[in-house]
Formats: sequence, C-alpha cells, structure tokens
Amino acid sequence: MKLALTALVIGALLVPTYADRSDAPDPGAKRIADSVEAFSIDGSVDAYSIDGSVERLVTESTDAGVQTVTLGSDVLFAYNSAALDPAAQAAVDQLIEDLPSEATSVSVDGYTDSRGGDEVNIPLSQARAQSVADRIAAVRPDLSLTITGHGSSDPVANEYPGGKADDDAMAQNRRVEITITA
Amino acid sequence: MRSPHPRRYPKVLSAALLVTLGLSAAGCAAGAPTTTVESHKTATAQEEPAEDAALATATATLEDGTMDVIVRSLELDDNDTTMTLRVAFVPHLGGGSDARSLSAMNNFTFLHPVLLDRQNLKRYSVIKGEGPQDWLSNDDATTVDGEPLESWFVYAAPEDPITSITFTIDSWSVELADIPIGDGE
Repeated sequence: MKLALTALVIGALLVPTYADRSDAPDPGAKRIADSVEAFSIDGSVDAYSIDGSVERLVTESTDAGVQTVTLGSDVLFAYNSAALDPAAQAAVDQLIEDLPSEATSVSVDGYTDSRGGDEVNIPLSQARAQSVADRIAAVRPDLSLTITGHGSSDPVANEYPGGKADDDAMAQNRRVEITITA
Repeated sequence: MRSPHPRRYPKVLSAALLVTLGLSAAGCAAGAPTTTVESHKTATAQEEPAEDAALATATATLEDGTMDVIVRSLELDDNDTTMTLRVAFVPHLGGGSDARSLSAMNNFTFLHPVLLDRQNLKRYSVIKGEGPQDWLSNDDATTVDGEPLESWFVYAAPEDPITSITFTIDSWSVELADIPIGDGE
C-alpha cells in the first residue's frame, strides 16, 4: 500500500516529455490564443498635423440677403496702428473689387480686443474702420459708406476662458467687418 | 545642408553624443581627446544657426522688466510641409540666479509666436500635437536672467509663394516684419 502511494506521487510529479511532435496533444484554442501577444503601434506615435495651423483671416457670410466680409485686423494693421499695411492693401483691394456690383451701401465696423480700455480701443477701432473705408471709397466710389468704431463691444470669442487670457480669442475679436446691402 | 527636422533633433543630438562618448572612450585609449570635441562641433554646427545669429531683434517690456527677443532663423524643413522658427529669449527680469521657464516668465501661459502673411491675409500658428506637447521646444526649458533661452517653433510651410513673413508675439506687443524664409539649403 505504501509502495503504491509513493509510485502515484512520483508519477504525478513527472513532467511529460514529447520525443516527437506527434507525442504532443492538441493544446486547445485558448492555449494557442494565449501564446500570441499582439503588438500595435496605435498610441505610440504622437501625431501632428498642419491642419488648422494656417488660417485665412477673411471670412464671408450671408444672412437674409445681407453679405458680411470679416477681416482679421492682425493681417491689416501693425500693433496699435491704424495704417493699412502696404502688403495687405493689394489683397484688400481685390476683396473690394469682388463686392457685388449691385451693392449700394456698405457699413464698415471696427472692433478691438478688450485690452487697453475704451479710451484707446474706440478711437483705434474707428480709425481702422476708416482706413478700410478709404480703400473702399478709392476702389468703389459708387458706394455709400457708414463707418463705426465699436471698441471691444460685441466680441465674437471669450477672451478669458477659465480666467486666463486667450490670445487666439483676442485675435478673433480684433476685426473689421464690411457689411454690404444691395 | 538643410536643417534637420526639430522632431529629429534630439535623436541627432543623441547620436552626436553617442559618437562623442564613443570617440571619447577611444580618445582616452589613444590619447587624443580633442577629436571628440571636433566631432561634436561638426555635428551640431549643421543643425542650428550660430548662437549669435540674429535676423531681427526686439525688446519687450514685461511687468517685471524686459525681454530681448532675437529671431535667429526661419527655414523650410526638408519634408517640404513645415518650417522651423528659431528664437532666443533673453530675460532681464531681475530674477537673479533663479532659473525660470518661458511660460513662468509669461504669467504661466505658454508662449506661441504667430506668423502673419499680410500679402495673402493668412495667419500661421504653431502646429498642435494630439498630446500635451505642441510642436515646439520643451516648455519646461529654463534660463536665468541675462542668459538666452534658445527655442524653436514649427509651422506649416507657406501656402503661397512668399519670401518673408511677419513675426508677432501679441501678448508682448512684439512685431518684426520681413523675416526672410530660408529654403533650408
């Protein structure tokens, strides 16, 4: 009895060996699946794209027959200046030439960001609107013009999301809008 | 030779250091350590403009003092889709020997220069990454008062046939016109 028990224990401890491939049993689907570790490159590369990094600071929209062209002030004027940049003038002239021929009146509205306060911003926005209006008058003398400087009123973007200054939002708010009425 | 892409720069520098270390070991054995220094200089001289290079400079007035802004170069990369701006920032903020990062010197806001193509009414921003790091030099790099912080920023290559562009840092009221765009040759 003791001898039989010893033989059973030794038999259980014996590691099976396969002298030939045919000696090995079928491992089963799970063992096979577990034996393969798939590697993926997903997430290992921080992708960069130039998409969205270049923005044309001219947008056009039409609402109820009224067409509005919005120009980012940064591409028109140097910092704190109301003199139309010579490099931008040709592009602005081209935009004006493309205004609809049936247009009769045009409003030119200048806006700034909120830095500096109304004392600075209202006259600056007025002067910038005037500069653009002067080009419109030169290229399209047939149009009736209304020019207004609004300072930092009517912002199109929140300049302090979460309490921190957002340069991109401020840039969006610095603009001149040309509204065309037929 | 074209400037290597900024993303590759750490690898190139690492390679240069490995070469340097390897040659140092060899140099020690052969008794010629100066060879390693020359190898290192050769490797880096092709990657960055000379430290004193300046296409344009400006001095920004900040709350605590002034900041010299030195535009060193703006070059198209050899991938034809991006261009790299290299700028040095030299603070004069009275911080003594305290090392500070660029964002710490900018009210803890990351600083991203913007390039303006006024001929075509376009604005070029630093390329953003999907992760927290945009395509620019390490935001954690630091410097001390009076010492330049060499930085680089990557933008999309110009979409139009322009040869120069306007450099701006709006929050500092810095604007430098006519920065020439090199072809990287």
